[in-house]
Amino acid sequence: MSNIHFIFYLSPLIILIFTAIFVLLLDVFIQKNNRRLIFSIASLGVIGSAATSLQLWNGDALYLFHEAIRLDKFSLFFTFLSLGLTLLTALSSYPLLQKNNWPLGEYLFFLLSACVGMSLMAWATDLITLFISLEIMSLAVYILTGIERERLTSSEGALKYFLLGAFSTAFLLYGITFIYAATGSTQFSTIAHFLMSSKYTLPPTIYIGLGLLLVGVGFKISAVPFHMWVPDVYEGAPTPITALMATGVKAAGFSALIRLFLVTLSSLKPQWGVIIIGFSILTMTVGNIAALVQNNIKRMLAYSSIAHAGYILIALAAAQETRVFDLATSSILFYLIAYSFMTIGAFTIVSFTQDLNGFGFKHPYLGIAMTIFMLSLIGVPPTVGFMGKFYIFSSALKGGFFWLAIIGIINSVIASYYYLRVLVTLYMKKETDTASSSLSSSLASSLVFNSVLWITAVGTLLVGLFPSSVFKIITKSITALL
Amino acid sequence: MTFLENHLLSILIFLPLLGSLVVFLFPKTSNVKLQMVAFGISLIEFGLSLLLLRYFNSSSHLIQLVQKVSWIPELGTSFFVGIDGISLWLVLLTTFLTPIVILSSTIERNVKSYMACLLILETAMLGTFVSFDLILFYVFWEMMLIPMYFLIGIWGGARRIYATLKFFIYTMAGGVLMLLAIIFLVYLHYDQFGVFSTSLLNMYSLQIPFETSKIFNIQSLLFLAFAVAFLIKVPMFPFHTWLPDAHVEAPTGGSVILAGVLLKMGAYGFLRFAMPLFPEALQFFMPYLIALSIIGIIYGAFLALAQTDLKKLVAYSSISHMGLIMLGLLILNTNGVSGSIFQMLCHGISTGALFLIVGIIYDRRHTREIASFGGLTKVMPYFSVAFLMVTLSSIALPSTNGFIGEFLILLGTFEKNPLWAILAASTVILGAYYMLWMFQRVMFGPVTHPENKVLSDLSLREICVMLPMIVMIFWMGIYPKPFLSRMEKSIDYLVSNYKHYDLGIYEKHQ
Repeated sequence: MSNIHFIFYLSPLIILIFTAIFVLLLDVFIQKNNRRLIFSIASLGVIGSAATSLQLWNGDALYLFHEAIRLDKFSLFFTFLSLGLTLLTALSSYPLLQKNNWPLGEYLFFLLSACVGMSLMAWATDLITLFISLEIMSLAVYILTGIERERLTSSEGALKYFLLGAFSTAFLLYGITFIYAATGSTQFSTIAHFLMSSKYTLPPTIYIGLGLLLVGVGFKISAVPFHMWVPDVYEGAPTPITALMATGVKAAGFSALIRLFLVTLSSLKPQWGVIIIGFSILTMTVGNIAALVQNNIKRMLAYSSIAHAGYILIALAAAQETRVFDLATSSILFYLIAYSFMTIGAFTIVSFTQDLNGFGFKHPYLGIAMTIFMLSLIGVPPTVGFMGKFYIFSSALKGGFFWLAIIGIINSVIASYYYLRVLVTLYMKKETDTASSSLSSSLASSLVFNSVLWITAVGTLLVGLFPSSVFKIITKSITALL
Repeated sequence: MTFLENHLLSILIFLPLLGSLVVFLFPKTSNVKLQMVAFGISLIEFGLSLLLLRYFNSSSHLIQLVQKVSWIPELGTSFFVGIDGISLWLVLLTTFLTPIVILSSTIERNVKSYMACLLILETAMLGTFVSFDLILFYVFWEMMLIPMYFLIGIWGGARRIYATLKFFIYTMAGGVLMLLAIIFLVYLHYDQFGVFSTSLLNMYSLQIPFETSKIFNIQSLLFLAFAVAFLIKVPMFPFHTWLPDAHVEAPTGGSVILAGVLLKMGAYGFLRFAMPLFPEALQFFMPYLIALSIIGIIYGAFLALAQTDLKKLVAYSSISHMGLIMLGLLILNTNGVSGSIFQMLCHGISTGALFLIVGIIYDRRHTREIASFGGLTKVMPYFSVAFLMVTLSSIALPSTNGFIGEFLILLGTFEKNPLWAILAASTVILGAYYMLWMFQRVMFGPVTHPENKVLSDLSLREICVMLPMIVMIFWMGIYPKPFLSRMEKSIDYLVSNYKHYDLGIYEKHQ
């Protein structure tokens, strides 16, 4: 295979990388008031990358660079998801970028770099590639968290995220060395083959490695007990970045979990299966109960995002039963899409104002959009959140995990309370007269801002009403896995 | 078959939804105009729903006017709606009450959203009654919560937020249990037949394992999951605690819809889903459920006796009446079940009318305390006539609708077990006691409060609201045959075949 082919197969990532660098340089050389141009170029880069991924969609699955990465429908699915989330994040931060004096070039550069990292995590079929892509993503997001240098909470969040994140990455790396020590390889396929065909008892190092890997990835998907950083970081980060962390970073984490645990380490199911069940129960319960007592909406959404990771872990736990593998894995992918729509939407509203008293009648359309997001987060039909929960609980019931499904159901009832409280403030509280109304009205008329809300709100409803087409795509991505 | 006949049910379902959009996007205008637009839409809806009577063939127990469109092929889910003798009158009750509620509204703030909520609610209620697909049913069932949540929460009384959260979470808790059971049924169907389907008709042919020796086996757990969801909605003792709060805090229109239609949904769901799907489990739990309904009848009545707030009194009387309706269903003979369904309509009308009455005096006095009234007959003669008729209907005086329903239920119960009938009949005495006593304290005697001397009598609008209710009360009480004859076939079939229930789709021969 000639080198030119590699460029073709990697084109989505290459376009992103070059756009990122170009945008960074352009910001230095161009006049300061030309922000719209830079922004458009970055958006075009993301769209171009999506277009080339679309070109690759119908091709066959193949390994590249000595099985360091794998290009298949699964990796392309997550590439699409990351690209979409990056675009929405960029769009929803555009009005804030204009208003605040954030360094535009750097902001977009790190956003696109994070996107490369997130996409690459789903491509990785080698522990080293996985580690590198995770680092690309994490470093970019650490910086984005602290991009509002003047605000204390932003810097605090960035520092916390960085320190704890570095710690967790160290765990991951340590886990990789243990796995390498036990199996003699970092390639997923070789590891899987080794585990499957090994006639001897596996060395205990592999279990240590497994545990360390779980810690590393568990941190990224904010599974309890590795969730302590979430509320502070989510609260401190600029709101669009918080949305990206809750959706994109988490989705990337889950893509790695699926490839690494469900496919590669599938012969160790008896060992990690129980741990995942425990994680799942803890994550949803702790997330929900902590969210109940929050008064700041960003913190509330942070804990709720922990809880939603717990629901997804139900499906991951169910996927250990081979007969529900397809259904459970598809439901993970579906839930990630569902969660992305509603969470990006909700955070976009929060970036608009955090004082939601009487908001619904003041801005009727924004109020309806927020209502749709909250109802979807509760899981009320006909929203996408309902379909997502439906598929997750289906996989749990079909896999025989009745108790897990029941705990999940109890949790979603608990959760409905704090989402409903948002609706209470939205419609049933008196408006507070704040001076920030001028900012609000300028934002409310912003076309870019509204387009994000339209996309997410319509997506939340439409995918909820007609999930079939999305499900077809997901089924294809899942079959490419094995 | 005409286009209208083929699509009547979907038109009925989606017309109010479209109407709510029209109301919401309507240019800024006076509240009265908005109210009239919404009223017009709901009146067209009612007119269209009357066509159901024309197209409905009462000599068949099968599902009629069916429309089935594939929706989520992966799960075998379709937009599958139809109507039979059980749901026919409940659909009409819904379309009948909605225009009345819209007309009766005296809301002054956010009228637009209020009207839009009521119309969305109508869509959800109609959808619930005509869905023959489990997923579709669940979608409408939960969708109904949203407008009701806002109705209570935005336009309700002082403790509205507490009440509406309680209402939502109670119903939601039942709903998600049902969702688990639905998912389980879908996979059971897949295991037994090898295809995915969520159609209710296919579920009827499932073999759901039941073991008599164990209390908790698959069928009884599924039954309980469904039953709890419906019993919370009814609400049956001991799941009733959300009801008084929701009723007292809801605006008048919300209370009317809540008592008139939403509570019936629980009973309807029980009859349509829980009973024929799980016949063995039903047999097993029947004595307990009957005991609960009898407790509910008596307990609700005693609670109603003790109330000093008019709306609370009506709310608790609802619990008592709904207990009687559940008893009629659980008896499972023709008289019991037809009495129950008939009583659902009566209760919808008479309790709805009672809430309207309470709303009318609340609008004038801004209090609902019984003690702050007295002697209103002298001040408001027309009002007192309307109030009296509605009261009599509620206590089931012969020649009013309540009598027919209660009589049939008690007759059916007596055929099965005289003791139950005797206990249940206490509702007649207790009902008369608390209703007449309330009427006496509010309407008769001297005018003790000077404010009451200047109260105005019914306005034209209020007469227009009360008149159809009163007409229905007497029509159903004097000539119930058209109502009963249309449900007869479906009920006969259900009662004699509930163990091997199997509904087909009615094909019209030309």
